[in-house]
Amino acid sequence: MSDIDTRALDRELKRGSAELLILSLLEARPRHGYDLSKLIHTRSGGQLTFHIDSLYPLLYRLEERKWIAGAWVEKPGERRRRFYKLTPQGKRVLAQQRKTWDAFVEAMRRVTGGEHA
Amino acid sequence: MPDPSTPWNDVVRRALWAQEVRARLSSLRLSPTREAEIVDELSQHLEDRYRELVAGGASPGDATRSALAGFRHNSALAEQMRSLQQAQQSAPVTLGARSENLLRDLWQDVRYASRAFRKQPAFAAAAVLTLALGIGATTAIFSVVYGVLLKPLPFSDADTLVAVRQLAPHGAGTNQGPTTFLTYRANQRSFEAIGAWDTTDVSITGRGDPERVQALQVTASVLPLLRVQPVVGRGFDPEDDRFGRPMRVLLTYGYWQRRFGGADTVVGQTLVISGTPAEVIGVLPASFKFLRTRPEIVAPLPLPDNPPGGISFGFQALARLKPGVSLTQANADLGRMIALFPPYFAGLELRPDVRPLAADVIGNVGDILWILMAAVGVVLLIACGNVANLFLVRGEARRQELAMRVALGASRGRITRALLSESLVIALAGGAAGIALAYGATQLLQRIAPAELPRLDEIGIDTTVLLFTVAVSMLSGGLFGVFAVLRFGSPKITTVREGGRSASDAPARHRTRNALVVTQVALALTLLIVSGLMIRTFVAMRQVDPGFVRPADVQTFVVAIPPASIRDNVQAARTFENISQRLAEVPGVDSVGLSSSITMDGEDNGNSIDVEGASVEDAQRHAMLRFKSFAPGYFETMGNRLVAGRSIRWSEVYEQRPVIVISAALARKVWKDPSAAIGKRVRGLQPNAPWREIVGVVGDERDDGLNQPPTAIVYWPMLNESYRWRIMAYAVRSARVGTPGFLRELEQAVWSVDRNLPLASVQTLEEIQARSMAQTSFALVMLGIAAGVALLIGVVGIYGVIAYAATQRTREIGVRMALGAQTGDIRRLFLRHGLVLTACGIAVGLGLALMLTRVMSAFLYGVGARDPFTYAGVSGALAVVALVATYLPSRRATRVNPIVALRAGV
Repeated sequence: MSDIDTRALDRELKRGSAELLILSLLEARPRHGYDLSKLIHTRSGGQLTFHIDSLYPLLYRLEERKWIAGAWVEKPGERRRRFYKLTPQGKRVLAQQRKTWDAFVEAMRRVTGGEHA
Repeated sequence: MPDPSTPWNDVVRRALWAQEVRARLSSLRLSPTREAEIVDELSQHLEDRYRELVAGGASPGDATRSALAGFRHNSALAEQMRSLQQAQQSAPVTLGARSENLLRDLWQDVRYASRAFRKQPAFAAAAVLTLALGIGATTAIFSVVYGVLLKPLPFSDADTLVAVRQLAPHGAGTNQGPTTFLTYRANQRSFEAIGAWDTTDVSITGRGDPERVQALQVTASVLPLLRVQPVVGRGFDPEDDRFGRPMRVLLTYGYWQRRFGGADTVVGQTLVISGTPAEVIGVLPASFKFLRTRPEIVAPLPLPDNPPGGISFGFQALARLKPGVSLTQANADLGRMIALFPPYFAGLELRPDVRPLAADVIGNVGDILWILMAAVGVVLLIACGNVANLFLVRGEARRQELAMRVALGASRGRITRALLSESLVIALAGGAAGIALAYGATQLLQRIAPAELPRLDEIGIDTTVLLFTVAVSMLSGGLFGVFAVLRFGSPKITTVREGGRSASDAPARHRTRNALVVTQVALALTLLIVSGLMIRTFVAMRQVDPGFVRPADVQTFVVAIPPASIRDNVQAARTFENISQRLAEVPGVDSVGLSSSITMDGEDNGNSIDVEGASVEDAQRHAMLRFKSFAPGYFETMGNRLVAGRSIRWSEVYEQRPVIVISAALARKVWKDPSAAIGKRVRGLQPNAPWREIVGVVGDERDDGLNQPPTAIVYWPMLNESYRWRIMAYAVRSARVGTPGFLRELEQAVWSVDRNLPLASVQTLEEIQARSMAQTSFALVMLGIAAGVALLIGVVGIYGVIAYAATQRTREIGVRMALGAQTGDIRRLFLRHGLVLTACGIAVGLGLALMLTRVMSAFLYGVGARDPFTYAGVSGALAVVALVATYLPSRRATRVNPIVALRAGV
């Protein structure tokens, strides 16, 4: 238990791990905002929905922290879209957050699992 | 035109997305580039969602609503973003950031409208300029009205300050004299305090060059009742205004700074004022302004302890009402005291006249200012009419867009607000430009400084005026915005299907615009008639014989010989004569005249006289005559002719022979015929005054102004028992007037007699005359400008309507011409339209002008308020101008090529 950062845990609980979700989805390849919101919606089986007014501010915040980087991409016959990709710093943060999350889930499992065991 | 490869609906929808996103970002301080990026990104998101929903079978309306439901609520985006650095850019969009939604939505509309206008600079410039003229003129005149009429006098509790006067029969008024004032002071019950004041020009000697300055003379009670405290030293003691007390003076702040460098040591120093030493006891605050006076020093107005007997009126009185006492009560109190005057006052038939001090300052300039205010209000209305027309034209082109917005779910209220926001943006921009115009105008006014305008230094663009301008701008915006809202506020969704091609000439559409033009023409005509009448008044006044000829050749100035320097009256008269002779010796001088007052110089001293053999009723008819004291040469120099008899000789002056001269107006009044007056006898009202024989009757002087009846004047020889005067005005006639060095030579001539006599009120007779016409000239110029602007805007209005009708009817013209109509037929069609509008406007305008005649007649002279010549002339001129404004666009309409018009299908 000593390796769990309790402050980080607290923050993640409040934020519903939104940052982790975004960073994870960008790990494989760059995506644009609508793509991200659709992925979160479908992969969570409709359980998680990002409103426009939460998703984009979060993207901009991550961008300001330099965890992700946005870039306009134009394709012929389409309007330009903004794609986001993970930065090296973002990768480190993602690794750290995964660790925190795993530790958290493990802790939860132990507590709740203990009750039912 | 939209890109044919993109369906029109796509363009509109994208605009909608962008607007929705932008609205949600407006409270943040994003840089414009960043905002544009975010708008782009989020619009794309909405569009992706919309297309997905439509692909899934949703209707466009449902899809639009669902896509927008991706926002939680209106302010969520801004709330989430507020902590980001990019949201704190320097772009100063802060209004509405923390306010209610309504205000913020309004701000969004305003920003949207501003953006739209930036893309239509010609439209925006035309509308803003038109409004700037209207609002600017209104603001400028309001700043004058406010500064002159509405702003309280610069004294605490100024509304309880009153001027105390009496009314005499025939509308004449009188100020106060020792008898009336002392009676009031001893017996009044309505006032906290009553005081008397007067202004006089004094010579200050002993400190460098002799200086002629205005002195304000007050009784000791005046400054305390005005609640004015000296900033240095003290005010007057209650005893300071009694006869025989050593003279003490207060300095005005400006004089103190100018002559004493603001030194505190001034208190206790001595000034020699008109030969009398006076101790300086204090300095008044810089803010001290007293009515229309511009004094350098304030001295006591010495009064006897008891009424001296005799009738004289020579100074003013003011008082502060006791709390709770009304003007009516104060007047009743005054009426009671008038009965206490000595019996010989009865013939004057005085009635009380207590009125607010402010009204006394303003004088008769109030009415003309309100008329000007009304005139510029009319100009503003006409301007609003034009802008309303512009908006209607623009609205036609936007019916498609507005219908689309309704189709996409915008409520009627939202559309109305958007339309009104657009009006508001234009109105406020016009207001801002108008303030700049008004500022320029008030600066110009300060420079011209019309003599008839009191309180000129209180005129300016201050907070009240700015608030007025903002209010007027918003009202104007509302006014012309309403037309657009009524016309386009409820767009029908079917318009979208029609593809923007509506019936080309729906009569209802033109009815509003036609009505606007008729109103504009009517209002412009009214203003033109009013200024036409003023022009005729001006011309009539120029043709009046003022009692002098060739005023540009007459130099006038005032020389005062204070009793302190020459006590003996005869000696003083000899000094005046010596000066006359020296002046006459100056090369180029034709003649020199001497009188206590020059025609129209504003001196209005006067009294009554006894006429030998006249009954009491007759005597009342010559109450309050103008008195002048004069010396030989005056009438000759002025160029005033003798109607009967002769003038006087210097020998008669010194021998104090019982002779007198009167004006023709007085002679006609008493004896019907001027020549009948010769040989008749009159005398002053004081006891033992000798009868004087009328030896001459001179032509009339328009002493009260060219637009006033000739003044009844009594000319007393300079040495007399009734009207002694030590302040005399010289009139010097010479072709050299106005040439360099001439004035200096006159000055040297005066100083060769007495080095200590300064020349005051140096002006040519022409300047005096111009000043007496100042009110008329001022009104004429202002009304002329207003009418000119009204005409210009009105004509532009007619032109605009005809030109627009012509473009709207291009296809119809094409059809007509294809069917064989000739160019002339088409031209006549439009000319008839323009002429019908003009004729209606003229008819309504004539009616309006006729209704105004009663208000106007007070300002007219030599022309009736219903002068048919002016009415017909102005109407004709307006009709011609309107015809030209109609002809130009109608000529263009006939250049339509029928094939092109029909193919374009416009």
